[in-house]
Formats: sequence, structure tokens, C-alpha cells
Amino acid sequence: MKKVLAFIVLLFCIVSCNTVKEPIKIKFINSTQEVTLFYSKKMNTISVVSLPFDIEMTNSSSEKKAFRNFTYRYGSELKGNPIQLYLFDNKNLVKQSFSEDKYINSKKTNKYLIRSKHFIDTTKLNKIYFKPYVEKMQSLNQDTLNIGTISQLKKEHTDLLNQLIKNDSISFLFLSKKGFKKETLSVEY
Amino acid sequence: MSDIFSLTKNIDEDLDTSEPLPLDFGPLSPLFDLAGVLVKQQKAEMDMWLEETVQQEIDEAKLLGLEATRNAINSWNHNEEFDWALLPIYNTTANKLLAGEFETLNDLLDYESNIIDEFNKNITILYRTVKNENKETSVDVIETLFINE
Repeated sequence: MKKVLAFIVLLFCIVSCNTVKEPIKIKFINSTQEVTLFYSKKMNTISVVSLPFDIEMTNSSSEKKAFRNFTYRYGSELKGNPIQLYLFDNKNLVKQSFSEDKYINSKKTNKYLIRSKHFIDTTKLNKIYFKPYVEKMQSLNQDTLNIGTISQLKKEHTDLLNQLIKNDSISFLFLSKKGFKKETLSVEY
Repeated sequence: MSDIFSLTKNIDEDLDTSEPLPLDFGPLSPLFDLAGVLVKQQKAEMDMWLEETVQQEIDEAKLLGLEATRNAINSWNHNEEFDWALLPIYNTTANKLLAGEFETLNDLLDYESNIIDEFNKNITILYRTVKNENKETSVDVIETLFINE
């Protein structure tokens, strides 16, 4: 009798330990989108850098999943503006609303583009990195400029990129049975 | 205080106590179904009590200021039922918000995101995302505006 009881307890333990509760996998992939510089006429300098990050969300469960809020935490003291999120839909980019549920169907992978808005230290960085870009923007008379992909920026200015995304993280608020479940990842490229 | 709740939360995750165990007690079944109903009701009451406690704690922290509020929401956000967040915004965005020009938080974030002429975000808003069980959607409630002096 004791043996049977022990077996039941053991079985119970095994069953209850085996429940896997992470059906959504999020990973960063190389983005083919371009880094954008924003020129502020008021400050007379480049004030914001927008970095593109591609992520893939894979739903391995048998039911569809949804997430709602997406929040970017800037690690630097200068911070930045709220990010924008786009869904890759057959090569089109569809802007995603913060205030609506975003679904990932069962056994499917959704690809998203995140666009950051990093504030930059105008006194330091403009002299070192951005002088040629400022001149280019002034000659073209435009207030935004695409300067190639993140990988290209990494090749030319690794330290700038590291400085920008140091301690940055992004979190997604997934809907769960009880309410919400927050998934946070540190930003990579 | 928060330790106790994180403990109850962990137990909660592993064992869903809101449902009675799926055992067949033969002729006694109706009795146990009733017990199940009672358990459910008790849990709903406990959840309500918990929510009230959290709301009260955060309301008290609001009176103490931004940092106290930040601490209060950090100590509660590990709980899956709640999600508060602080968001620093520009004066211009706050003005538009108070004038009722944004329909959703998404509109506010879009507007905020496109400002590139300023770095100083003097105002911080406290918002909370709330699930609406009836409509199966969720809404963002802006609870407070903090003005940094």
C-alpha cells in the first residue's frame, strides 16, 4: 500500500513538473532596414537616431496567442522616445497599434520591425561621427537621412552602436489567462 | 508583505485552485460540486481584496510622489494581474492629452514619438492596462500626471 502511495505521489510530481509554460519564443534577427538620422532645425543638429531591429515571435502552442503593450527601455541617461512596431505582411510593413491586441496564430511565426528613437549626445557625437552626415543633410536640404543597415553602422562605428544600445531592453505584455505576462529581452543586433 | 504574495502567486501558478479537482465521488458528487462553487467564490473575493489592497497602496504612494510610486509599482508588477507603467512625456504632449486630443494611448505615443526638437520630458504619466472581461479587449487608463518641479 505504501509503495502504491509513493508511486502516486511520484507520478503527481512528475506530471506537475512537466508543464512547460513558455509557448512564445522571441528572437532578434538581422534587420535589412536602414538606420535613420533626424535633424532638428531648432537645435541645429542631429538629435535622434532611429535604429531598426527585426524580431521573430514564434508561437509553438496549439492556440493563438496575443500581446498588447510593447515598451522600449533606454539604458542611457539621455533616453529616447516611444518606439514604433510594424508587422511584416508579405513584404509590406503594417504599423501595429499599442492599444490593440496583436495575435500570433498557432504554430506560426510573426516577424516584426521595431524602430527606436534614441536621443543622442549632440555635443559629443556630432563632432565625432555625424559631421559628414550633417553636411550631407544640409546640402540635400532634408531633415532625415538613411545611413545604411545596422550591420553597416556596426562595421563603421562599433563603439557608437554599443554606446547607443547599452543596457537597452524591450518588453512585451502577453495576455494570459489571469491577466498579463511580461516578457523582457535585452536588445541585441 | 510582497514576499507573502509572491509565494501565494507561485502556488497559484502550479495549482489552479479555482477549479475543483476532477475526481468522481460517485453519489457524493453534488456535494463536492457545491464545494467547488464555494472555492471559486472565495477566490474571487480574495482577488478583489488583493486588487483593492494594491490600488490603495499605489494611491498612497501617488501622494508621496513619483519615486514612491515607481517603487510601489515595481513591487507589484511581478503579479500577473496588474500592469502599471510610468511614461515620461513632453509638455506639448501633456497639453494635448489634457485637451482631450488623444483617443487612445497609441495616439499619444505616436505623437510623442515624432517630437525630435526637445529632450526634456518634465511630465510623467502613470497608466495601467486593464482587461475588460466582458468585451474581451483591454484599455489603458491614465491614472495620474506627475509634474517634475
